[in-house]
Amino acid sequence: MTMKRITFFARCLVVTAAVAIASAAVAEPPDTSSWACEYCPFADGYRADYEAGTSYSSDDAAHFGDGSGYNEKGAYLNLDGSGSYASDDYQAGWVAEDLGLDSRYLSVFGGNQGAYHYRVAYRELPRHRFDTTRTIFTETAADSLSLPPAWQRSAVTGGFAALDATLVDRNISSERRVLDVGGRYLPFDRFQLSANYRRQERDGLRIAGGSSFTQSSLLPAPFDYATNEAELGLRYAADAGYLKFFYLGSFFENENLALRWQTPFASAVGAETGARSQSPDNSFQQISLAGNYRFTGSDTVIGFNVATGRLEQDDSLLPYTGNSLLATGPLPRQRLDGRVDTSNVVFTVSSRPFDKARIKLAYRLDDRDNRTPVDLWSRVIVDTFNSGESEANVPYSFRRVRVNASGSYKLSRSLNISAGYDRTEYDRDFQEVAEQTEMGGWGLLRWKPNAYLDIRAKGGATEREIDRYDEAVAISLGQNPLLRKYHLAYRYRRFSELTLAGSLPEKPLSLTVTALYANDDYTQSRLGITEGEDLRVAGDLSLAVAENRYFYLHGGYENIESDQFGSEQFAVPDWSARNSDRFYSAGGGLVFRQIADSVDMKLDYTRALGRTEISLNTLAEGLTWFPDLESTMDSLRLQLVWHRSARLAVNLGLRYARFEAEDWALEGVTPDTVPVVLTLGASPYNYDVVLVGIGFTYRVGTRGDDEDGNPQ
Amino acid sequence: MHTDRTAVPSLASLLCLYLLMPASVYAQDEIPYSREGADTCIACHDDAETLALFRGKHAVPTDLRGPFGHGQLQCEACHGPGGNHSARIRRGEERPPPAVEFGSHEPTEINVQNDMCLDCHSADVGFGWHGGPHDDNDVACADCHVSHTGGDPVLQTSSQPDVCYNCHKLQRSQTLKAFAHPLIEGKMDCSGCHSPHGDTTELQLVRQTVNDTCYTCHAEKRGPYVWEHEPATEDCGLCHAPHGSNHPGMLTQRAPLLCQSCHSQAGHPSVAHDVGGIASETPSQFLLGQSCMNCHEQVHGSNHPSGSKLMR
Repeated sequence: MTMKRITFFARCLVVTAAVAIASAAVAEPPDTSSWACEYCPFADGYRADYEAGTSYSSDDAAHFGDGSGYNEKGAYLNLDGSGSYASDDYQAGWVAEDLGLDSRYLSVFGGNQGAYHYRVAYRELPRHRFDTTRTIFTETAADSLSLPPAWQRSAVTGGFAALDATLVDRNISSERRVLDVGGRYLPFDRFQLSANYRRQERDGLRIAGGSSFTQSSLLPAPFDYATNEAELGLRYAADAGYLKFFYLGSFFENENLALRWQTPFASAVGAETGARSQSPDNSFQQISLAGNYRFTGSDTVIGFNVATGRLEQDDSLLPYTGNSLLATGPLPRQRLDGRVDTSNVVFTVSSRPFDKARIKLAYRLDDRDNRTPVDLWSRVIVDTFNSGESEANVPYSFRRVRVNASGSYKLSRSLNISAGYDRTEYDRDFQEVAEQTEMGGWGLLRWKPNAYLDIRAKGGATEREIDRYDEAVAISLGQNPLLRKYHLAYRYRRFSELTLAGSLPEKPLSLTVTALYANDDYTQSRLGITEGEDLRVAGDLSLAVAENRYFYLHGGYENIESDQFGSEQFAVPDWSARNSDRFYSAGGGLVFRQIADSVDMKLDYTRALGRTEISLNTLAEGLTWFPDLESTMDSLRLQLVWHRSARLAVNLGLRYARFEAEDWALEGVTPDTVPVVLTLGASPYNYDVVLVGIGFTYRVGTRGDDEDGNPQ
Repeated sequence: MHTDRTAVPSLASLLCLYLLMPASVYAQDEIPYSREGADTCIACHDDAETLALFRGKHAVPTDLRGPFGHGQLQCEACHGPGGNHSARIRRGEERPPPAVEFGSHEPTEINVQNDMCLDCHSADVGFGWHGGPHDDNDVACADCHVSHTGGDPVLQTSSQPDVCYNCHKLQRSQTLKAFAHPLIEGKMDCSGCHSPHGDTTELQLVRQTVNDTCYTCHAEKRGPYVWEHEPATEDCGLCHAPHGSNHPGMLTQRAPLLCQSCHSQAGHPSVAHDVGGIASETPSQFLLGQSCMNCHEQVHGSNHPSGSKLMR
């Protein structure tokens, strides 16, 4: 190489280096010490919106009030609001919803952002299942139900002479109350401590079946639960990753060990009172360590999550029977000493080896190791007689391992292709299938030519194979050896999904449609589920006609079908059934804001129709159809807000809800309809409710507002 | 023809410069910052929606981690250098956009938008984000979150589901079914069960498994019991549809057929209970009331020594 050429390249390098250095200097952040933020309206002081009003509901309707609190006809007080306070080193706020209802919620939070944060929240959730139920039982104690005085027992409900005179209304309702207290503290840079305590209380009535050999009574069973849950976390956040240690403790308490009831049916001597166990006290504690690290050079993230836990239950056991005339021998133990150890391990790698490609690997292990002791227990049949046999309890355990691998590649700016492989392995104890493997693959094509159109098409298949369906286990459980439980059976699944999202450039119109189809074939099953099919479509359309004015429509359709076979002869299949669940939903509405500069309006209508068709094909009757199970809901909501001034707003609300159900399991089923079951006589949901309300919102505080209260 | 030999080394110099120039120079992304930070931006962007930022957590001056902490880059901490956007332009010239604009329909690449957020929020939410379903589907943080507000709708129970329904149409439809969790009543939200930022847990749930998640509210089902119902210990979803169902208890199917898909014992479990058993015909205890659960009500397990048939 000549000197001339050497000099030439040396000059190139010098110039290049100079430009590089200059480029690096331009990229540095500026000196912001002079950025005074004089025009920044930082929050300062207290500001709040207080809302008060009243509503009136036109009718009693348990289903309408389920969750909302509007279950009875009459007037309601509405109290809502939110507020915030900010100063240099302290920020706080509160949110209140429905304080006048049984579904009230209140949250108070605050702290010094960047240093500590606390939160206290309280929520009530009413659950109203039925308000049409009647019962003869009275609650003589929290765990006892008694018959009316002078009740005359009979073998069948038709013989209950005193039934009509002793039935009383008893709504099946309950309430959940949740108290949440928690906080975060940042003692040092990059470290965060978090703690949360939650107490859930739930009490009321539920429906419990009280069996008395060949008869049964549906009981309005009282219950009283409490769950205390504690979470503790310690997190370290580095620039490229983080590490978190986490403790979870959950402790469930049931005030009542058992529910006792006097059976209304004629029964064996000594079996006049039944006793069923209630959910036992239990506890679950778990510690976990999780974290990730990002290698920025290759844009690779490695994550992991390791958890180990223990579930324990050691409540006192009831005796075999309350029938003192039955000789049973002692219990093998007074307490179960139940214990389940859980383990969860996750490891993930996600990487972009180059800009157009991404790969992802994930490994997941979930292990449930049931260490509950095994004992032999006498078989006493519903307090009526001792079978003389013994039976061992079975501590079911399983282990599940999932491995996923996927990759995507950008074929062009608008076209992206992805594919993946999934494998799941199950190992189970004491069940018909000890080992099970499901493998499958999928492919996805995504076309997104611009910001206004996005189409995705995905398809795939999985095959679930089992090593052996142990018919000896099935037979030991009294099962027909030809039965294949659908979660343990061989299955071939095909699935596909299509999503289209589009909008017009510069036009305020958008459309989204999603469709999903899956088909399950249980080709090796002769009894049980043999085929399943699931089709779902949903979409919506929105159109903005002007600033602060838009319309929307939404709809959905779902059809889930399954075929199954049975055998009355305990041999080859001799009957079949098809279950078809359909669901249709449609709705729309509009949102208009700042009508005449002071009125906001929101109108929404939704209709939902659920229909279930069940058919049976039997040797004796041929093909027969059940009446359709139907539920139809119409819901109309209108909300008007008149901003009388910057501080005062008037709120008007109208809600109309109509619900009609046809349910052959409830229709015409009075307490004595079924000869051997005393039911609660619940009726299908049918109601028309109009809920009207008026309220006022008053804004206080000068945070960010001018002297007239106008937001600045 | 006479060739000017001095031009050849000049051209070669330019070519050399081009090939060896750092990529950052070619990228034309050397955008300067504004002169006065937020004061520059607010000179034009003084509308209520923009200034609503100052009611939220991003505008707390005593939080040194935040965009408006002392010495931080203020608006440009998220929107990138705004020197070009805020500079004077000639008449008729189109004003350059901000370096980073947020939202799926904005020209800024989704991963660039999200990286801006993750620069600060990686530890809070980035655990399962990378490679999670929202990241895989190019969901922008701004698709769900509103920063310029004092109350982000996605962070409030009553309004969060509507944000999720923008994409999850199938789930919205399911929550309208006759039996569903109280989402449409505004008493429960999607993040009560799911981790929207992604997680290594099953189905992006808040706990390690499906059952663990259900037990956060339904701890009475946790057991362990003397007599267990094995599918209930493995996966609540084997019998229940948590987003909504046509059937009471959010069951996937009505009893007795649901139960008969796994139970075939001789006697009443394997009998075909047809329409002849409804109330207007010959009322059957296997169809009416609670069907199988008229007697076998302890379907989640029984702790009674005599409860092996889940009747006690």
